[in-house]
Amino acid sequence: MADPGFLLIFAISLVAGLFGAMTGLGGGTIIVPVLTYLGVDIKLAIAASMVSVIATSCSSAAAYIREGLVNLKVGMYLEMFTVSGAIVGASITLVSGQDLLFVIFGCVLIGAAVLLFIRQRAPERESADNRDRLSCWLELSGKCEDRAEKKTIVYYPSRAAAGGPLMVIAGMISGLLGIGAGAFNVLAQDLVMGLPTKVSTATSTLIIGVTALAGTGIYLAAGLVDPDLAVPVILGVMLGALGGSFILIRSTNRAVRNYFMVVVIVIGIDMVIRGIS
Amino acid sequence: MTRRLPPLETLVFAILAGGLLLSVALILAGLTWEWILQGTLNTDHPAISAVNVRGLLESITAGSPEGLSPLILLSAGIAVLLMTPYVQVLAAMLFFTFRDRNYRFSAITGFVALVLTWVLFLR
Repeated sequence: MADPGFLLIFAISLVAGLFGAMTGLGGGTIIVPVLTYLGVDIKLAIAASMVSVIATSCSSAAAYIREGLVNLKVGMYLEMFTVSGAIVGASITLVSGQDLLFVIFGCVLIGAAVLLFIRQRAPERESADNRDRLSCWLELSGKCEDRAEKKTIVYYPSRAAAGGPLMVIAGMISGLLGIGAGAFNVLAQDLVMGLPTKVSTATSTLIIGVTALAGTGIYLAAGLVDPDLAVPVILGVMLGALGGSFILIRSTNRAVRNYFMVVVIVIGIDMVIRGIS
Repeated sequence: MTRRLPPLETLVFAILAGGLLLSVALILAGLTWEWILQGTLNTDHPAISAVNVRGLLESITAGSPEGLSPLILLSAGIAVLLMTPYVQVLAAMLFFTFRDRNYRFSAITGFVALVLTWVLFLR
């Protein structure tokens, strides 16, 4: 394995964390391809990224919980499905060839960027009370403050029976590629379960940490967690994500975000080409 | 605006924030120590070859032949980070069982805790 050096990995992780937070895709989606450009084995990069997802999740989820935006019951219900998916995903990575991982990573990167792009343009739907029997039984409804409009929004998650199994796929992608797969989490919660966007984004940060932990367990057992790689990635991605969130909250310019999204799609296409060739 | 968080949210927040701070503090202490000892952060530590988190924790508590070392602090930082979401799930399970008496969510968090226990400690 090439040794790019602590400070270089830290600096790259910082930028990746910033980039990931600005696009909403998470630092892992950027750091894994970039580390492979530096000659790092893709499986080691995935394992390091997976550990960094836990750190990013802890800091973001704590902040969102303080804001009252996380629906803990929805999060814990969906974690049942994502942890199972993550174990399957990480196990697939261990037996997969590098080329296949490059292709899958590239495709997921493109897919996630396109999904987020579409979601940005979709108008926020009014939360309607169309709960299914499982959502009622689990008492998943919640409320959050809309600070902009200074009002309390009461919402009723629906279709829990469909949303849960969908999250197995999100968990599998997370475990397979060492990313948070927040874009897929949020999509399932937004479109299937009808959560307000802010709540689904916040709840997703809690879910990705527990999901990443399940995947990390598999990589740890395989001896793929390298402290020389994991430590700068953890610190860099976490600090970058904090900076990115800070900028994002204060930025009103969507063009910058869209520009980042195009870069992510280009990286994704390049990953697919590298895998095929 | 000051908002009073519900008890479960307060508990989860404290575990996540506390775990993360402790983990980062251990990692930074390990890095600082390494910097003082070697004058560089570019080292060649072996990958953590623990079978599971239990093995990792045992290797940390056993220490190195020289006693406490920068690598032990770095490994401890990673171990604390890994344990943070796990402890959060366990705490939520206990909260739902004994405080809230919400047995549906005791079972849900219990299932997640069981899967994580298997992956982290029993595999």
